[in-house]
Amino acid sequence: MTRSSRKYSNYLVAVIVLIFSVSCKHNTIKPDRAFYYWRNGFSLSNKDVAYLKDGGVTKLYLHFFDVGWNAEYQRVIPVDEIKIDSNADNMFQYIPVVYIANKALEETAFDSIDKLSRHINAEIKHVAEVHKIIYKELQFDCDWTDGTQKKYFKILSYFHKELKKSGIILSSTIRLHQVKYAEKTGIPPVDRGMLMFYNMGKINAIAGYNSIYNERDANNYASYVKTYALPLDVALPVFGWAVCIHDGKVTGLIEKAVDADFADTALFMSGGKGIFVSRKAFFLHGRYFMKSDSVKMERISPDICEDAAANINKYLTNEKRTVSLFDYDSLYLSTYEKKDLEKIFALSN
Amino acid sequence: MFEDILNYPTSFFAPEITHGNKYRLFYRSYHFLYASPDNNKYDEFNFKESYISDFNTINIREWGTYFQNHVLENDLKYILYKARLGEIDTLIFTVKKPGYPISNSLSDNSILKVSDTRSALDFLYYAGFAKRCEKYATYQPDDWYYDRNKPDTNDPINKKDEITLLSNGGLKQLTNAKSDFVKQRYAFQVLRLYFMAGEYDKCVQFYNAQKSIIESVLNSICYRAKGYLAGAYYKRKDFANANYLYSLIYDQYDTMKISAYFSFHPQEENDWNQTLALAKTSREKAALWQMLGIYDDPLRAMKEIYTLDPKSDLLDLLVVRAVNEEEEKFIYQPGEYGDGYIDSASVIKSKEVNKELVDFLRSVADNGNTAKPYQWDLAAGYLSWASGDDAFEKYLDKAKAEAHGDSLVQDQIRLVQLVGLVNSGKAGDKKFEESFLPEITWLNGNHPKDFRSQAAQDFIKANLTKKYAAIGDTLKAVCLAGELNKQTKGFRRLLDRLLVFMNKPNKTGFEEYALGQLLYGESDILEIEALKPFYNKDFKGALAILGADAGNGPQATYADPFVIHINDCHDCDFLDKKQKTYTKRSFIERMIALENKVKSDPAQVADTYFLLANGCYNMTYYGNSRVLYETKLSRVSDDFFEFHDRSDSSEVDNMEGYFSCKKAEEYYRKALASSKDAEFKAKCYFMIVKCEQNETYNQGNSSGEFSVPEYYDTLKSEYSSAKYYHEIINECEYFRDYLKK
Repeated sequence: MTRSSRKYSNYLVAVIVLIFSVSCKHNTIKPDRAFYYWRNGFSLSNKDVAYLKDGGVTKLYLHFFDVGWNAEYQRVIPVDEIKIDSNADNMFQYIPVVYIANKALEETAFDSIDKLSRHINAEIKHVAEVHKIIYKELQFDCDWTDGTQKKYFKILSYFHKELKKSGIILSSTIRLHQVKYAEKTGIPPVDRGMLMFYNMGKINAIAGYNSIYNERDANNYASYVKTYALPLDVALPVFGWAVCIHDGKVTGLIEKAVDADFADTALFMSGGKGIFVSRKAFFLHGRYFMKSDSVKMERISPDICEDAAANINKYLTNEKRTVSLFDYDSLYLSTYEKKDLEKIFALSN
Repeated sequence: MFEDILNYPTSFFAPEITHGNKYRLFYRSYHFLYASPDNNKYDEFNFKESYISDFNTINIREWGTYFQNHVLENDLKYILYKARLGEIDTLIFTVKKPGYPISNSLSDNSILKVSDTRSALDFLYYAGFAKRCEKYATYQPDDWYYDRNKPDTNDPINKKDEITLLSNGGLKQLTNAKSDFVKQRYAFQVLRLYFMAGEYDKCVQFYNAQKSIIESVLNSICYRAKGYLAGAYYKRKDFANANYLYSLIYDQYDTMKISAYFSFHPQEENDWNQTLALAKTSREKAALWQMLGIYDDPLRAMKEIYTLDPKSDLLDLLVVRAVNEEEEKFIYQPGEYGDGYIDSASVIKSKEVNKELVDFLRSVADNGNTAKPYQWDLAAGYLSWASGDDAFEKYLDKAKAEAHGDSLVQDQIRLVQLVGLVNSGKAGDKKFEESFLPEITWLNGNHPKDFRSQAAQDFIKANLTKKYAAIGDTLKAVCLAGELNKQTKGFRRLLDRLLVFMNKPNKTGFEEYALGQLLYGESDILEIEALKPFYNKDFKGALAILGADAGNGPQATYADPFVIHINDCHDCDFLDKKQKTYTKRSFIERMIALENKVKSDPAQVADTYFLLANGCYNMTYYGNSRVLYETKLSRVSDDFFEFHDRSDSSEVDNMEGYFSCKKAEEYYRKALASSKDAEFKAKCYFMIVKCEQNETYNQGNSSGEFSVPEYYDTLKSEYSSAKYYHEIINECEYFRDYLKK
């Protein structure tokens, strides 16, 4: 670090501490309420709309597509592009989100990054145009590494410049390790960061341990949020999954799993603490279970989400921000009533 | 070697003992597949990305056989993969009517020499048809959707009419063709067209209607057709049929073994049971179980196959996979070591071994009714040992006798016996040490690449280190561990003891072995010990420690430590090939000679002091020969801050001396005092300024700014008339800045 940058960052810390110290009691500015919509098929029933409106939700982050590497064609291509069934009318503000896989960046030469950026830009515009989506913000999601950081940031710089012309905000998802090790991982060149306040622990076989959110792991990171050099929005989890375990070791994850998936007592018995143990060897949904394999349910209940909201709020400054729940899926949201949403969003105030 | 280490987990057991080359890629690996013999064709996961060139080669060969090798392969290749449609038409006309106008190159094609013109025409008509199908068969979606006109006009799914027309043409030609060989190929093309057009029901109907033709020759086309049929079933979510077909391809056609394996995905218990019911023979059933065994459950699979056919070769792979998978549980793997490498790497986790697996292996071994009994005896013996059962020897002895001509198997047995001997051996027991020696000498020798001696060597060293440490034989434990830790309490004393041990006469064979594991020789240790006096600038003391030979090591200085410049530009000195370089020893000897010269040659004393000063300066962190600080336990770096962090320092380091320019300054002052030459004095004085400036860094001045202005005052007031003074102004920015103030 050069002297001048050190001086500058000290100054920055001083300013942030000052702001924080006068404002940490109450965050009085109400956040915008949002959801991530991460499934490919975008379709909102009247019931969905009523649920969202009722919860005061004004924004939806729509997963437009992934930028992935296709080994068969040996090319970087968009995958899992969104299919929009219902008309994306103006009931909500839509924010396109594009996930960039590290592999796609690894396979693209640094000199070709601008070309890739142009492709991505045209693709986003194309999808937005087809579905008549007007957006005021665009978000990229990438768990960049040492090896891909420069390329990812180059893409962001390209869009930063592009979007400035039309006054569109550019944001990037920020993972907790990127906050804690910001000096090493770098600050992405964007207007805002979306802090993903979940997936903080190592997925393991320990009963009762929740890797999606638990306070102990959260506290390893949360204090660093204060000094992060970007204005932050916050994403909180409302999802769950099942961790597959064989011989005490994690062998996989079943996304979007709920207890009912393991309710067949001919196949599973309950092992307590959200664990199901297989009674014999069998196939289920494309997965082979050996006798005595187990699945551990990890799920974010409204209570846990409220804890997460209250926890992160302690470290946030009093600024206008968006609080977005990940993700919109009735599978899990059936247990989230209006009062729960109110509480979660209120705690993020 | 490096690739092998990354290829599979830590293991003592070579799956190659099964000699199942056909299944080599399915040996247990970190990756999807075991390292392939031909790495170029596979990506970093050992996964093959394209089969096109394989299929092309095979296709050409099959046509060659069709023509009884009367047509050159290159000519077939040209017609099948390079020729334009017009050229194929020309060849057809020429066959039909010799004398038809034709280019020279085309007229040389040996297809025109085939006497059976009907066969040649069938081939050429087919080649033309295949070419028309090609654009549908090789269709790939565009990279980016946005620059497509919707819908994608190239996608065969949107070209149903054209495809119907083309496939009808193909069917007609199928009828006209003379041989089953050609008919089969037309059927394949039509089937593939349906598949590419997304007409999966039609695919299934067509295959069944043409089954006798498609399966009339069991060649590449037959199995590729089965692949499309399986794909069609899969698209229809008929997983039972799809997986059954994939298992047939997997078991019967090696070229597609891998891709069929990766396509095999039973979904629910129901469809898996249906797939099993579809299998017509024991072999077909066993192949299904083998795939399940590779994916998920080797023990269950082995039991099923063994019941179907104890002599099935499909068992072989599963036995070695089961052993390797089990090893991952009872041998500590990298990443599980935690803080204590020795504590982990020395241990066999016997309790982790799956007893049910061991029981099964033993019962099959006892029955002795498999095709390769040695394999079962070896596996049963090895895993019995790993589980802590003393009955293991019996099985190993049996395996030894059964595979007496098989050197890899014999070596494998010997290795298991050796790790067994070590694991149960007692430290300090002479009998154990004696029986161990010839075995470890053998293990440390050369072996075939597949043999997994490295992990066994590591285990043995760790195991013995722990045992000898436990009985208080520190010297052997330290040697066996290989690495020295200079932070150990009483490290300097330990080094002395090691030196004594190294020079002990009449060492036992085991002592020699233990010493052989230590990564440091006598001169390495002497250099480490000499570091203290050397960097205290006590050169005679250092030489006394180095003795007669040490310090002659390959690490020479990169530049002449007796030259000095206004700016310390090490790279410039390194690049100057005319500079004389020194070993640690020759440097020390020159310094001692210069010390003696001070007394013996008073006329030269100023110059001698100056050279001594340069030597003392250049051996420090600031000089061009800081590399003199390097030993096997101390290194130098360009990063000042890293080396100012002395947390790594130990009783054998001399960080103070490494940074200190005090001795150099003392000599520069003596040189200054001994000379009357104004130029020389200016030079000495400037070097004194540098030493003082460096001392401020040593005291924690991290700004890099100049901080001894009083010395510049003197430089300016006393030496400004010297020519050298102006050289300083030219070269030294600090000094220029000072003068501007």
